[in-house]
Amino acid sequence: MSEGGYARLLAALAGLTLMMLIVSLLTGPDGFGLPAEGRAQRLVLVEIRLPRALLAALIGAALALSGAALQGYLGNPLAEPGLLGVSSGAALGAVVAIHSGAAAAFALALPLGGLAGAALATIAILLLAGRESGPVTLILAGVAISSVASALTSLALNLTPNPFASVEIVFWLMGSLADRSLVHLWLALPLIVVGGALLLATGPALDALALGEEVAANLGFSLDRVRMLVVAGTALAIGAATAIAGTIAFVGLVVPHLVRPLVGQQPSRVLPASALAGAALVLAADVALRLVSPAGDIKLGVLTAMLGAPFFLWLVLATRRELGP
Amino acid sequence: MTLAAEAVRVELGGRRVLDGVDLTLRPGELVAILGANGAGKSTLLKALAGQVALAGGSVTLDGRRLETWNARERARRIAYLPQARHVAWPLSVAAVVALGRLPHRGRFAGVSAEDQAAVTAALAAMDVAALAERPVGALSGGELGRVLVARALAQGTDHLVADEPTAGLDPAHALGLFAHLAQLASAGRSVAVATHDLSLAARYASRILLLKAGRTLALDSPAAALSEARLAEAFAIRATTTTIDGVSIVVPLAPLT
Repeated sequence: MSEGGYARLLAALAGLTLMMLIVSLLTGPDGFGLPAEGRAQRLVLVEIRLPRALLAALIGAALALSGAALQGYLGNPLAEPGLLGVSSGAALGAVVAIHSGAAAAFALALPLGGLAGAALATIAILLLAGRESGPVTLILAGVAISSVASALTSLALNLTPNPFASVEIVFWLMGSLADRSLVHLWLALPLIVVGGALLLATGPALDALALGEEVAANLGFSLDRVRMLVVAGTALAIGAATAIAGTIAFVGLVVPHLVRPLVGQQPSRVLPASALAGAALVLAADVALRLVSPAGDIKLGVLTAMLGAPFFLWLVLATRRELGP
Repeated sequence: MTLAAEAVRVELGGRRVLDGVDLTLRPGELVAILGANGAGKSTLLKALAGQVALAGGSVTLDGRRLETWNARERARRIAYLPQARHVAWPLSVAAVVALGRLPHRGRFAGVSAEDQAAVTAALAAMDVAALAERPVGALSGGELGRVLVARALAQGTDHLVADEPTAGLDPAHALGLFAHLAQLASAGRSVAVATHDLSLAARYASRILLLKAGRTLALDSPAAALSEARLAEAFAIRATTTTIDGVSIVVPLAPLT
């Protein structure tokens, strides 16, 4: 694909994201439109709708970018951001915050607990996988950490003394952007921006890795450096995204597949295109959610899973057709 | 402009795979590395490309140990073609060959005219220009092999280290490949190539390194290295060497038992 065509695609995706951002700002519990005139109008727009819209864009970009980077790094189309165990760690941290009652006492305990969980999971992965390991060791370490974190999350749920806390935990795990404030935005923004920059920096190395580790090394790329960028970028971006919004399924897995054919399959180009498409997709899903279920009884993560799963099924069938019987 | 392995020793999984092998690649040389399976050909090529840790000895480029080179600078001097043929995504042929230009490009810079010329020349040299827009998933094994050779050629390095590039190639393309490698050498580059095609090695190589169980059996002119006694020792075969129309031919006749 030509460089001009690629630039036009990025511009189109950026335009789409911007449009969805505006639509999101114009969406409220009563359908489309600005909030009611008066003193509360500015407050609703800036304090409620703006953080929600920007968080949707940021988190969508983080999920899709991390998924694209992991798929490129591992050369595996089934890789997704949860693979490293960072999101399971963040979920566990948040659940502990709810379980311990800290979240009820102090609102920010929830995202801060999530960030602490993500940080611990990342440290555990690096210790477990060692400093100079290949992709397979990294995946195994991620799966191990995920299992431990999920088991502990189940234990916390199991031992929750009152049913309200259980319901809160279960709903939180489903992923949502409702009632997130500017404070949440300021907490997530720097982490996701830095994490995203680290992931974008892997582009040329991911292109080289398409030909295998030996060729990538021959082309002058340090495999250890790429691995550190992918792990650190995912830890920051996905740790922050999960700590703020819970688990939002399928975006990181599906979006890179959507954009890959549009950018000539090149891993370095899949990265920015995925980030923009992921932002637009989560914004759109969050808008649809508020229109379909204004009372907020359907969670964002459930909607993305319900949209993502059939799409993935279709993808499997399309791949099967392409590869023949 | 020389790439030199001196007394190289490599141990993999506690086993000594290379033991005291010397090889100096000078500009203008095409050295064929021959030996039975497991003789250490691939490991020697990896050592020459700086991709395996040495247990002893050294590999130097322009007199400086390879490990002390900046990886990107090294990538502009030595191209390495591994034996495994692997492409993770269905990239187009042209995109795969263009990856060879990564060491020459700015981190996020586009493709320069020089890059484009190198890619076009490499595509033509390996007779894959007609496939340029095809996804690599739709290629045959031999075609993919040629595309990956073209990637290494596009890198435009002084030294090319290629591991069995003719495997799976039809006779016309195998001949064309060796002729191109010889042409690169006569243009002042140096090439080290591991192969099992004894006749092509005899015909095109300027020197032959014969390995057996990680040690040098012979490092000599093709005629001397491929004597019947040496072939018997290296491959445990009875073989005969002949010349037809001035072309050296090595024919294995029977395994020695």
